Amino acid sequence: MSEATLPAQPIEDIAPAARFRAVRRFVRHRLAMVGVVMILVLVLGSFLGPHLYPFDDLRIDMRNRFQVPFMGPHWLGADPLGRDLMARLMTAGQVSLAVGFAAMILSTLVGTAIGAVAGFYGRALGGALMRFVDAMLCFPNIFLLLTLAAFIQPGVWTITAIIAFTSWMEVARVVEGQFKTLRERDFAIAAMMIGSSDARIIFAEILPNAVAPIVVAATLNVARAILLESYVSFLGYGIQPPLPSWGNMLNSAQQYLTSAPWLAIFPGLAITAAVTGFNFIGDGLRDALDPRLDA
Amino acid sequence: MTQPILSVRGLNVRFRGRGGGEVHVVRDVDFELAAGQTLALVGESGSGKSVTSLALMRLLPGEPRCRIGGRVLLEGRDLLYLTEAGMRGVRGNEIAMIFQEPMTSLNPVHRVGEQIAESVRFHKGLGRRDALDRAVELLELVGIPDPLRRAQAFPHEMSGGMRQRVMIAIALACDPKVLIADEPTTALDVTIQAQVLELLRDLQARTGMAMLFITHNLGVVAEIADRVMVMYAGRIVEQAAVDPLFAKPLMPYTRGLLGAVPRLDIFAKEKPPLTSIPGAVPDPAHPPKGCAFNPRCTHRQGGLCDQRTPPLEAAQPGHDVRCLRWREAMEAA
Amino acid sequence: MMRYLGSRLLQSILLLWIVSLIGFFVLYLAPGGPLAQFALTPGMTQEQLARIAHQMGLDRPLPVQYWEWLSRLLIGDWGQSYRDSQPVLAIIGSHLFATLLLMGASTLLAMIIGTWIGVLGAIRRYSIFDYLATIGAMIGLSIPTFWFGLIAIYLFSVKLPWFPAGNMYTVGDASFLDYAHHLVLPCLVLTLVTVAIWSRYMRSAMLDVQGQDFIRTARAKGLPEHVVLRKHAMRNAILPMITVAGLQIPTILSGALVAETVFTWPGMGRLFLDSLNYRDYPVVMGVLMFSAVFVLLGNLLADVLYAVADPRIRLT
Repeated sequence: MSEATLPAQPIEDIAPAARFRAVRRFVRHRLAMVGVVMILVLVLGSFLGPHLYPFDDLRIDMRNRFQVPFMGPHWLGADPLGRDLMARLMTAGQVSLAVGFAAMILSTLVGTAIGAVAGFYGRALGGALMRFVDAMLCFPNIFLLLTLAAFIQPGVWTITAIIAFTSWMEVARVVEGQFKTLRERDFAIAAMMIGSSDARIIFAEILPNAVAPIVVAATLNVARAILLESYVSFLGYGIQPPLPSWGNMLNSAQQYLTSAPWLAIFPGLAITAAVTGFNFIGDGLRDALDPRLDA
Repeated sequence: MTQPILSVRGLNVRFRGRGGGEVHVVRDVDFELAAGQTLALVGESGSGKSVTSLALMRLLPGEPRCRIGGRVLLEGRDLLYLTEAGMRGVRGNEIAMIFQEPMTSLNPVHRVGEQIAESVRFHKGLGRRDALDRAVELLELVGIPDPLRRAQAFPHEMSGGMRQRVMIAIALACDPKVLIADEPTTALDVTIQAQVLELLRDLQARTGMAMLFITHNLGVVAEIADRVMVMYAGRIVEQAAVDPLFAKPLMPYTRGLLGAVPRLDIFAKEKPPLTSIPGAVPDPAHPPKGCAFNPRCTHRQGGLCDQRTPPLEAAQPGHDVRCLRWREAMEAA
Repeated sequence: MMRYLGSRLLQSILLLWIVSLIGFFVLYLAPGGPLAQFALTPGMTQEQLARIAHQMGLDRPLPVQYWEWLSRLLIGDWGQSYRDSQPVLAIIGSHLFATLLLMGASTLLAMIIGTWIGVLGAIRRYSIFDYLATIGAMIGLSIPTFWFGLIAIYLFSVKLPWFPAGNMYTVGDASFLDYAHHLVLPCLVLTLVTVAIWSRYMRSAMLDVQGQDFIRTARAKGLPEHVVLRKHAMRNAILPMITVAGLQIPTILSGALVAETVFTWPGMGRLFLDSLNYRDYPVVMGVLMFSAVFVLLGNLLADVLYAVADPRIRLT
């Protein structure tokens, strides 16, 4: 069941015009465009910036320890070892953004799979799965996240997996709801009548019609994953130094808060910008993909 | 006719969309309403009849979203020039209103008695206890059994017909001079409809209030109204007393409406076939050229009806019609 | 209503059982599982470990172990702290007040401010205020709370020495005012997120209600606008907010953990992190389970309150 073979017929047939209207609504959504620009700047800055920027993130420069921003060679100042803050923000950005994206993909896949099965089969199996979702949601996510992070050897991949494990439930709820209604619709019933396999109905008939809410939930999940990564890393159980992430940069900045506040200010701004950006985009997508606007 | 209580002159309502385009939904409406009289305002949904009633109460969104022009004289005072506070003293007190949906028009979290009493408290300055006593009295008046207990009930504990009676009790709380009833029976079962109409007629006889009765159901009109005003695309297209209008409708649209009503008249020698008007009410943002009804009209004359906008003319004393070919209809009838 | 509450109670018990399964699973994820404490002790041989494992019943089938664990949980025996051998439940109990104080103060504040912002945004929809409130709420939800806390400390404790940067009271003082003084900054930080969420929900609830027919009825009665707003619109819009408040508990708990860490507030979140640092697994597991149960009971309570407040449920 490869993704490439999805025929996606109901959408493909009727919807080029609707899809065009959705794209136009998205492009006209001012906040969403602000979000897109913010994310572009952060992504390009983090991944291309290091090639253009004159300072290396690991170069120790003891003459410029604690250099104040805009007051010396280092643009955004330097840390206790004289390392360039801007360069470190870029490297950390690569880690934080990558973890955010990867966790989003993982949680969306898990959430979609569980939600699809629960919504499609309903009854006992669906009920049991959704009660599991409810129970997972009873655990405040940072508590669960920290417990798991403390028990499992921390690393980029385990952190990503743990974040995904604690944030797939919303997607599952959204997908379950969609599947529950969509499976009653004509095209799904028609597919059942002609004897299509369950897998074919799920992936080829229903899933393409449930894409819009999944995309919205996934976008908001990137924002949430970045935020969660920063929380665990700040508390010392996430990405471990020397690998920098925006969250663990704040952890080490905490003790210099009085003497070198810029070490805390800029990573926090970077996190806020990234999370805000994805939230703006998610909001714009929700408005643009709202089928009620296609009346 | 006796001195009118409510007199509406050249009422116009325009809505402005968020894009900036203006939609003219009520155009040059004139009518008068005397005490004890019932005027029915008839039309399909989208014809502007509900907007007309909300404009009289100034319950439409304010400027710049909505502009109201013309004059609405209640015993000589122009309501459109009252302050908001002055207008509040009119609403529910001198002009009251009942709505189509009894299921959703009552607040679900307050007791029925309280919802009646608050109006009296506000307008008549009654204390809490006195106002509740008055509420029970009103529930009795509108024919709700065991009113003392019913005053303590919540709306969801009552049937649709009961709730509409409660709405009527709210409207009558302050002895209004004018009652606007916006499709008060549409959402109800046929038997309940008859009861509610009976109640309204009875209450009108007792209180002598004037009634503006909005409906799309001509069967109801025959039961309750003295005069009828037919509205189409924001304009009055025919206006007459009930009998002449039913006997000799001059505007093709009115005739269409009458054809769409199932006749229960058992004395009729032969029942005419039930017809319906093809097409739908025009989009008020893009009214057709000429007569607004011409695209749906079976008597349309090309080159005339789609070119000239007909004026409202008096075909007979008290019978106005807006049609370029009303004379032919008159002769045929 | 009794039927509704009964079914809700049954659901909660079922959920509690699933929560316990997840908790048991997480417990076994711990390095060395429940044996971790002993595995870390130097000079412990394999045989000794095996003996302890046998004593603790860890060599028995999992379902049996789960049953034992669950029954101990139910009778309130949540194990003992590795650090000071105190019963876990007692330790949690001694930290609960601080957390409840922080959560309570911040929730109250958030409800007042959030309701106000939400209502104003709804009645002046698409105004500058509404627009700013919308953007502000989205940014508020995006700011990492711990960072906001650090900035607050830097501004209002370091630069302007107005508020203490940590602890719940000054040793030797501990008056009401002293508590309040210490509460300001952590409360502010925790309130940021809750206000953002609360105002959004309040706004959409108000917009929902404002389009309802009964609001038009209230206006047609000639009631003054503030009566229409308060007695008719807000009274209805607040109802679903009871459920929203219940659903926000996990978010507020998570936020409290972060705020307590930044401000060394001696609550459950602080206890949780300290225990993590000491690898004090019984306490960690205890707090984890406790927070889940807390959330569950909070939601149940919210549903009960909703049922009491909404006449449509009250009498059926």
